[in-house]
Amino acid sequence: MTAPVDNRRARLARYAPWIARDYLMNQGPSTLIVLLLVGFLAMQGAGGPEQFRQLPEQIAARVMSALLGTLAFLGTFFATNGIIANDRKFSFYRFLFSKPVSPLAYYATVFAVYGAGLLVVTGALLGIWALVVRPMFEPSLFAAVALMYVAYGGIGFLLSAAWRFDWLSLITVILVANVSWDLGRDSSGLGYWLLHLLPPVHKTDEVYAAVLGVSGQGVPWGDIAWLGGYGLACFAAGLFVLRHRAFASS
Amino acid sequence: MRAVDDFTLEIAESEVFGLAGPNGAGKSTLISLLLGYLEPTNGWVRIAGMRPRAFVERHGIGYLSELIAIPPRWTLEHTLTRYGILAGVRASELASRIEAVISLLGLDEHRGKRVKQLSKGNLQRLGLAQSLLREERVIILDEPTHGLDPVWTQRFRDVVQALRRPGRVIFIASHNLDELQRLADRVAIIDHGRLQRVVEPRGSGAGSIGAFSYVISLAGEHGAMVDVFPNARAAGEHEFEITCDLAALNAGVRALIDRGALITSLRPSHSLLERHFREAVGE
Repeated sequence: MTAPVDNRRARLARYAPWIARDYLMNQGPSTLIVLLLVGFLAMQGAGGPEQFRQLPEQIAARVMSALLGTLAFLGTFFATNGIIANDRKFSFYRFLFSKPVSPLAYYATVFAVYGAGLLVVTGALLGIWALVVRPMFEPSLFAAVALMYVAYGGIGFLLSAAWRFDWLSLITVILVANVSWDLGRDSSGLGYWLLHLLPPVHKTDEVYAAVLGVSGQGVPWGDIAWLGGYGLACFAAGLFVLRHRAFASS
Repeated sequence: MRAVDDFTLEIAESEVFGLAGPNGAGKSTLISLLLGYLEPTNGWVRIAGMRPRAFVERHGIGYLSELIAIPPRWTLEHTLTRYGILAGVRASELASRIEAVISLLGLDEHRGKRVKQLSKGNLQRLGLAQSLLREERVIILDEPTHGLDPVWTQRFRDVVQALRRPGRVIFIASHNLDELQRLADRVAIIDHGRLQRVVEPRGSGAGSIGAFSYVISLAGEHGAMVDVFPNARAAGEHEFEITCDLAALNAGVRALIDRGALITSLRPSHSLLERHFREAVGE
């Protein structure tokens, strides 16, 4: 009996719901639980839900900005942690890529679906926020999370393609970048160029503030382009590494 | 250190090809090269004229790995559905294909179980099932009967025999020489990453067996035995071990029958392939 075949793009499109299912059963709940815990602690710090609801609009937006940053980083961290490295580590690639599937297209699809999953989790969290504090469903919030997913997730994707300790190295890179941008913002010469090779994490707060309307300035398109461009460049580098790094070791 | 070195081999279409070698001989490395999971540091590998990765991404390969690595939380049925989609089986055909392989490999009662709940033998059958979801031109089976009980080992042989098709290559790497002897048209023996020899276990070509030892059992004493096979030595009650080539064996058997002997069994005293294997790996 000969089983008819789909074309390669159709295969991945049909497989995408299974990838979404994986996200919603694994990384999604982890993100939701950790963010609810962070939100709960923030609320307790402000004197409980009742007090929190009565916060002035501007203060609530600042709290939201901090929570949004936590959501974007942790959500991306959970989504991209082991995205490629785990398949190598546990040899799951052996059956996956004996099928007529390009690993590049497969992992690009996983990255995109997990990003969409993070937006669903963001929606769920905003729903809870609306019930507990006040409704805030601006599309710009989703855009900010998507931007940070591309920025942080691109780096995570590259690190996961390159080696197995991607979670550790992503945290290290982000920490080093934060400290370096804090200390060396005014550097010149070689230091200036080295600094600009690091992720532009110092721009994230400005993006969140602009999204929530607490910066008093317009949309920081330059910062958005820098963050997004950096993430996309890392993502492309991850695909390059994926193409050239052998799955097996002899 | 080179895992595979100085290795030249061509496998023909429609062939069942075996690969035998001791642990660490380079079998797994060779299979990784065939699937494009490794690139050779020197030399080249081609499947139907294409680089392995390009071939796999375009056509796919039915592959059973020695290590059955499937996410432990997937259920058996979901595993087959996922791999079936990735293999490119059309939605309209997928359910019937899955039913067919589940039935073929006796997995029906386990379909709802998670992978982590499956026994070694059932996991091995699931691995085989996912490799058969689509009609592939190339099938690679790495230690396919590892963990299977004797009943399923025999069933596996029947499954492989049924997979033979014109134009299809079946590549089997195994420690089990008896299995390769029964299934493979040719068997490559490798050791220390080098091809030692290629044997036709059942053929009559250059790599086939010449003089060999057999055990003949007779129904009672018969004096003709030592006349027909002067070098025969007693191997048990009414049993004799002889060493000769196929032509001499057949002529001798005919002579025994002509002289009234009743032969109850005739078998090789040990696997033909085993002898080659021992010689090739120096055991």
